[in-house]
Amino acid sequence: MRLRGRAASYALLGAAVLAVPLVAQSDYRLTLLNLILVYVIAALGLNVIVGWVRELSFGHAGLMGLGAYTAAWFATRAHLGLWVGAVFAVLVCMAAGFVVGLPTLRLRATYFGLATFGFNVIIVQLINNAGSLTGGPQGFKGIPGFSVDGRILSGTSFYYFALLVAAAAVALASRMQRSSFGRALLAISEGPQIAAAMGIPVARAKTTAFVISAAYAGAAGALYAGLIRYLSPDSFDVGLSVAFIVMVIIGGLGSIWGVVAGAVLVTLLPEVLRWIRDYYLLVYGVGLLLVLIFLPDGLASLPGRIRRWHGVTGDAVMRQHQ
Amino acid sequence: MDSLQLFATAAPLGCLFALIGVGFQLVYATLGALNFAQGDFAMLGGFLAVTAVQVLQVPLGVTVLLTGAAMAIVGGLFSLGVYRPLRHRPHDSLIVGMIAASIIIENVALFAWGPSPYRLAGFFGGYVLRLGQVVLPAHAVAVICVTGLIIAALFFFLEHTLLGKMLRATAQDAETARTLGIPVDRVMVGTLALSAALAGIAGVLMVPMLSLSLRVGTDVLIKGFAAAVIGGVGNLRGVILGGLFVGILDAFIAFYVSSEYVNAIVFLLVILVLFLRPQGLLGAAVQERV
Repeated sequence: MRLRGRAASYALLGAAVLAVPLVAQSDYRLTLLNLILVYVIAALGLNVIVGWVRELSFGHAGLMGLGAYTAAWFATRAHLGLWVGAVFAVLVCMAAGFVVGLPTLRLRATYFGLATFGFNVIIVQLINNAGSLTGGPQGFKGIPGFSVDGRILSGTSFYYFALLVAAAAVALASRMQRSSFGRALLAISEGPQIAAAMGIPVARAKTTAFVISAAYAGAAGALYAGLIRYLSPDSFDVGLSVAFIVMVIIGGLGSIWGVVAGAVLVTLLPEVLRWIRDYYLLVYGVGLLLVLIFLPDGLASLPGRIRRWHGVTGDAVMRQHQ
Repeated sequence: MDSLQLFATAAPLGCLFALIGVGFQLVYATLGALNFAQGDFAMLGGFLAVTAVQVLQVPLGVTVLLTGAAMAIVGGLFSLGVYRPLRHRPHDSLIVGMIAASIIIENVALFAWGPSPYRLAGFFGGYVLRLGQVVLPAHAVAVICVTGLIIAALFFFLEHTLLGKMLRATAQDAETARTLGIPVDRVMVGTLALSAALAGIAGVLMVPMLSLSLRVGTDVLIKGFAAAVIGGVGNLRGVILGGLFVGILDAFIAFYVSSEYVNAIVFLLVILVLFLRPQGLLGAAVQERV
């Protein structure tokens, strides 16, 4: 009975996800939906290092920017198209993740956070100042978009394409979570010394996790370039990195569906709360603090909490009727 | 402009980075977390001073003291609202809580003072000292003296008073300190109040030298990070020298390269230091910890 109810609600959710672009009604909303999918992919990547290894990375937006600009450069200046650009975006981001992660992940946790923060600042400044390569502060214009059969993916078609990529990202993440590698990361987050004593190569596993996380960021960056088709350095500053961390933490560190929910919520929130206008960031800050304090395990723990609360009150009602 | 003049211009700014870096360090040593709101404490201190001087007509010297006191209260509130509820949680929750607080402070400041930048007249108005070729505003000399006094007082406090010793004990090992009967939780509230007061005073002294806007929070945060890493995390004297060094580096990069590149180069240096000498450039020379 209960199982059937759950299957039904999953089917309903799936149908809603598939149908939502058909009822979006405006280009603006379609772009927003597509942006949500891009951010879901990026957040899933960040979850590998922040949720599973529990090392805060403040450079995820920088990595995503690196991926977006790499894809755009290969697509336009090298005339190779965005598909090839996307492959290079993932590879370049993995290389950057390796270079940043290798020296810093061996050190105390805090240093990694600092180094990634610095990485983000440096990337944005480089994009701003390397005008001949990136378009500088005016932005990178004229990105062709992903084309299939000579038709460029946009709007609804981009949505189903991005949904496919996001589904693959979720599938890959959940496979990884259940693999020996995923369990090794969990062990490291519980206690690196103990993990090392159990024979887990801690530094290597952490670096691998960061490289995987960077690959997700690269893919998200390439998708972003194909979706918006214009890049500006300000779109990838530390503020977005913090937003990605918030998606992972609010979602419930480590839980894949929690991270997806966190990404959807954090991206939609400014739209939903548009009526409070200038107060938005203030409300966002206060809300974030309240969630941290009162929902320590994030949104992922909310269904369980509600069920428990519901169950308790339900029992009480039953007892009253007996 | 010759290097000597550049040094003279950079030194007072370096002093302020040192003050902020020291607060940073104290919090890191006792709470074990980087305080992402430290830069915003400095910014808020600066804005409070603008109101005190421009609206309430308080003299700058008194404003420094008042702002220090007000920011200590803000630091106390910060520890009650952010640190205490999150102290038993994993590290990353506390850091994100601090980031949330930083977002709140920045937006409260935006509503209270608006987005346009402010500037105040310094100590002794626009009076300028000339030492040979070098020209130095009297305010800069005052900043150096005030910073020296504060740091001397801080060291006296840490080494010769009971409270200071409690703080050092908590920083060294909170659990042992607790078993010895030190009220660790209250010490931590005090540490946050102290570091907020230090940052706030630095913020006040900064307004006559830089124009104060909402961006200052992040800028100063980056310099505080850099001072802490270059000096060696956990090493108070190193951080003071680190702050001076970052101030001078800032001036030289801005003059010889471009002010656009300051943050990127400073961070590149931070990453290099982390890579080559994680104990800090001065880590080996000065072993003492807070």
